[in-house]
Amino acid sequence: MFIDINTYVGHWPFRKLSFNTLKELDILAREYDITHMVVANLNGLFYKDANEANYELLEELKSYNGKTEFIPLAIVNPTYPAWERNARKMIELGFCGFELAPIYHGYSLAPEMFFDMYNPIHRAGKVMELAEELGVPVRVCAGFENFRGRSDLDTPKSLSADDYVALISKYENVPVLATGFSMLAAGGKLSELVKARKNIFFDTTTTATLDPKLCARVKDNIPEEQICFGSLSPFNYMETNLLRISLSGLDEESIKANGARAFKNL
Amino acid sequence: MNIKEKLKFLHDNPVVAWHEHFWSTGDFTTLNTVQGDDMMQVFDALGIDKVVTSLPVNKIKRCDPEVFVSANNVTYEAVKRYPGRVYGMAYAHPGYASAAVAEIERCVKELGFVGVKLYYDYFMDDPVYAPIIEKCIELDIPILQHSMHFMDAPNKIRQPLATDGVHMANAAKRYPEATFVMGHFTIAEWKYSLNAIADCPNVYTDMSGSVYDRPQMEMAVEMLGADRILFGTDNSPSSCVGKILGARISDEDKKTILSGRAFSRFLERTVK
Repeated sequence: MFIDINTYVGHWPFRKLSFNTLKELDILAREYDITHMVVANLNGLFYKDANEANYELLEELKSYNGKTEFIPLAIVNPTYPAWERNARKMIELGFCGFELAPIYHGYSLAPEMFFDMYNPIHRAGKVMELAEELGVPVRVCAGFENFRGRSDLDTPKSLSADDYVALISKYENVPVLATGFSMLAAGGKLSELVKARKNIFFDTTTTATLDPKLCARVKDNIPEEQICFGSLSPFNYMETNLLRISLSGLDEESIKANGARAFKNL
Repeated sequence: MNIKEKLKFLHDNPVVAWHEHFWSTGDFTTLNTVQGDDMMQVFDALGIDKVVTSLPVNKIKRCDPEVFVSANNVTYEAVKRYPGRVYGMAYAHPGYASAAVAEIERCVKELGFVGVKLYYDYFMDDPVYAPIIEKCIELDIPILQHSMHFMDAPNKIRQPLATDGVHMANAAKRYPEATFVMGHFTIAEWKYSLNAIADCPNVYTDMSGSVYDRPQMEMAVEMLGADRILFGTDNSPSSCVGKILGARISDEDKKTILSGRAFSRFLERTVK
């Protein structure tokens, strides 16, 4: 099994993407014998009702007849009414987990103070609770485009190590795919948590691993069995991440398969 | 297909990386041989045959002539440490016009350097660069300019004079006989800069840099042609080799980019 835990279909409002359909992702995957891709629909970051994007992906999956097996994630916006009902429905319809987009949907991964400072509300935590109940993982991408080239209409924010710590520290039974986050920045408290838990996974998208010293730092922060292959397709060239796992001295075969451990029955 | 099989394309063809840096130990006086040896090991694994390096001085304060002279001597240490594989480019601060011109002449004529590397000291179309550009025309060497069109506030503040494609095009139109390279087109708002230089035949670009957005390579070949694109990594080898391997462009175009065919004469001429 070779699983890419970081792929998307859909559109990006700030530049034209290519290879942004299931059919086209399948072409990329087959070129390198990738058997599975974890996928969500980018449109859900921008629609007021994110669930519309989940139905779009569902429709695309119905007509897809390629070789690569797609593992769909439902984009969930916990600030939107009926998110829980919609999220449950998506799992019933065959989605395999949830994706959170806190920066685009305007909430924090940590508990937030609203009107009552003694009772913070943890909106992301509510989704984690549901994921725990349903036994599915949650993916949270730290950022999509490199910050230097983002449109003025895009957000300058990316998720930090503290954001991930706030999300994962309480919900120890929920597998988390922390994609697009530099493993070099995953030290300190985040590294401690990741080592204590075996169900937190990172991907190669933003971490250069050909430099032996950087690679050693990655291994200090993240156990190898929690490093996964991720390409952030269709934003990026997949070959960069293939090189990173092939020439880094990390256990390539393990990295190709590790992502499967986040999902039941894979 | 296995990525290692695909990587054979680089091992089977000549590859010149035109935008690299062998750093000093921090003070611009001594080559960091550990970093250099690590880099060469990575270049070997990736099939990169020759590299062109420079040591721009990224000091917040002004860079006096003795500093850029020292930095260029560090680059020369790298050239000597990896003979036949590493070539130097001279960095000079344009604010010291006569000292900068003299230093460029020393680097080319005495040290065998193959070009000039400029940083974000001024926009490329600022008249302050005139003496340097005119010297480069006289010596027939390319001018590699650190370039990017930043969209983010921190970098706009940190590098307020960072050149982008519009500045490159302005300079190129003023000096059609000069050879310019817009460094790392792939970083920041890359399509903006590609559009800006598309109609300037004397502006080349290199594909170095850590950003590997699809389909920036296809777009660059479509807008400029492969013969105006140079390979390079700017010390981000996996990003850049991945970009060239993944690009949906012809093998012939890949060979043109990897070999830096248009720039071969600069390397052939000045080896010391």
